[in-house]
Amino acid sequence: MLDRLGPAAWAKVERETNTGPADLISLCVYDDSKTIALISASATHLGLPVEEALRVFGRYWVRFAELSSFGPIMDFTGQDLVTFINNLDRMHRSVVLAMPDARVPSFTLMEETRKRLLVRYRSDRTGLETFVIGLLEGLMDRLNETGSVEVAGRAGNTIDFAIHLDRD
Amino acid sequence: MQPAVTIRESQLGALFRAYIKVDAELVVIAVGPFFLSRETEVVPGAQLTELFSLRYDREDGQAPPMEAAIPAMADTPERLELFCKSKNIRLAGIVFSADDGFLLALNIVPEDFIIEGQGLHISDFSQIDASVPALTLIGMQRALLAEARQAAIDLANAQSEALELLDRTQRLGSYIVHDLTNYLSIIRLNVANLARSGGSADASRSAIEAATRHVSDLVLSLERLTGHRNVEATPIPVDETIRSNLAFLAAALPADFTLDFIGGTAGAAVRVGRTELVHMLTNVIVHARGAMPDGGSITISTYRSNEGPEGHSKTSQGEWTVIKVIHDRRGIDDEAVRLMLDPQALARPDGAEFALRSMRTWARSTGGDVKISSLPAGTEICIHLPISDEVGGAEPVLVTTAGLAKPQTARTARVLVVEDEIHALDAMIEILRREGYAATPAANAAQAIEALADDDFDILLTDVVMPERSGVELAHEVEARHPRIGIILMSGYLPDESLLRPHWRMLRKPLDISLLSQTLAATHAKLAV
Ligand code: HEM
Repeated sequence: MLDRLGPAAWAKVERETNTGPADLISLCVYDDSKTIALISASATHLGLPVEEALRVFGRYWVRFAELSSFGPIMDFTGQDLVTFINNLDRMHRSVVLAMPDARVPSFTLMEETRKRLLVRYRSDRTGLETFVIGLLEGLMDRLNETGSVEVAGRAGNTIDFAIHLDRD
Repeated sequence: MQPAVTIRESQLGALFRAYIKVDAELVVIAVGPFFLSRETEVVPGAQLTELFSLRYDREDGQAPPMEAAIPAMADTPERLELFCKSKNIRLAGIVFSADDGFLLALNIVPEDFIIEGQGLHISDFSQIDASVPALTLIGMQRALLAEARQAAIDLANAQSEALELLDRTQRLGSYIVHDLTNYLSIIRLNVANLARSGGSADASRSAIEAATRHVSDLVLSLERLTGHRNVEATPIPVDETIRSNLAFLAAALPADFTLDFIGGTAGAAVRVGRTELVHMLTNVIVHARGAMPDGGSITISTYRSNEGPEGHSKTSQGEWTVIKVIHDRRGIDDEAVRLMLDPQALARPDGAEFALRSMRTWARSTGGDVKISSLPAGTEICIHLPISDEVGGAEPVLVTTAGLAKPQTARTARVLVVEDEIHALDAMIEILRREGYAATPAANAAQAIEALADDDFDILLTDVVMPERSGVELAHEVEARHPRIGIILMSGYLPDESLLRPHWRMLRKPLDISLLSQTLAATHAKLAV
């Protein structure tokens, strides 16, 4: 469904909603409260609960990033889900070199079977659980996978996400 | 000789992602993960010299062939560079000799692949390869530059939009001033008329009433202009708006939903806020999603209809835009529909009724309505919105309450009065007739030209600001054809002086009746000379 829309349509949406990936990245980097405020604002605008808005946003953000000038970095990170997740930490670490104030998360692929991936997310932030679910869903969209994401466990500052893939 | 260290294949692959083991004849024996992870011709059994050429080849035709160069470099610190013959990929490293041939310990040397899109990934580089941060940083810098450039363009656009808005506001402001002065003139003229006995009191009273109504409309627009409401409220194209926000709407749905849009209104525009429309559709979709826990399909379609929503007479000739949202699961039960339609029933803020009722309130505020029906399998939501015509005032229609002009005597001055505001025109005609002039009304420049073709006039008394042709243009044209005619212009503000002839007379609006009489008399007297 999303694939039917061309990049031009997305670029337009982006302009109409007045947010670009750089906005979000720099917002993320320098002020958490702003990001949350932005998302809550759009949640009220859409009539969604904040958690839900965070998820929609995460999913949407991947699209944004992919079709924007951040696309090449996304491509560089990987063209399949496993490679992407395995490379995510190296990408984020490299990004931090340019943005020293950034506090990036860490993603580790703990288990991998054909139909299920277990991803451990570590962060010194809280409250981003549904955002991460949205991001992982967005990655699935991007990498031509369908399936679902659920929380498989929480401990301290780590959350395990199980990605169930609709594969034969 | 016993090797000092033993390196496993996997460690070799971690250090040198693109290593190649060849035998003494340079036939490939084994390759690193860079080649394994993608389809390449670099596979065991392939001949190295057919796949790659040496760097020297490009610079120096005398370069030694690979068969000689590789053994010569073995176990030296010299750098080996290989160019892939079929792809723009460069490998670099050093050569070790091995029992059965050579180990080429190679890594990828990044060209500008981020832009070229050669399909390289972070994992194509060894853990310690500084290319990864370097390339990521280059990518970040480019992305941020591109964003900055876009931001600059957006800023410039926003600036010109702001200027345009300001311009429009100023124009709107001067229209309002113009209209207000017109209405004030009407009121004054009619009050003067009422004060005189013999005038048609009923006509004056209704003219004053109408003027007051218009004035309060203007006050309303002024309120809108100064408040934070949508100033322009220009009609937006329905299909285009939905289409360009489809991605946004779809983002509210999980992957097991499909969202389709069939736009069939052929450019129909409705006078609603863009965000409101998107907001309402989002509500519908979020609600539909809640009703379909196992996913499903949602279709938005639009079409034109001559039939309005229930309660609107079919005879009203206004066309309607219908936005229909259908989803293929039973969304709400009849009880919910009843609750929604019952204005007495309380709606819970989190319930479907609430969202749907707010949608109905919105649709009604735009002159439309919303209808919800449950289908055998699914739910259908129909939003009717009136199609809005293009903005712009209707052509003034001349209502001839003044009757036919009396036959003119030689001494009666014949005045052609041009005024696009119909009540002002009526009142002025009546006053002029009472003053003893033979006054003929014209509601615009075209009518004035027509009247001049049929009759002779002594004086042209014309409003300046009129749609289509202005009074100044009219005056120039009339004077060119009838040089002897006396010209009096009426305006709320002074028109551009350079466009005026020195002998023309100006009257300021709102009109002062006695000044009008004086000016007419003076103009007439001058003509008689
Ligand atoms: C072009 C691609 C990307 C770039 C340049 C990028 C960069 C960044 C930056 C600068 C931050 C901010 C850290 C801070 O707020 O201090 C961040 C945070 C984050 N990134 Fe990425 N990122 C990218 C893609 C992704 C993707 C695809 C995921 C998907 C899983 C992801 C997951 C996250 C999460 C969850 C955070 C929030 C911080 C936290 O949880 O502690 N990023 N990223």
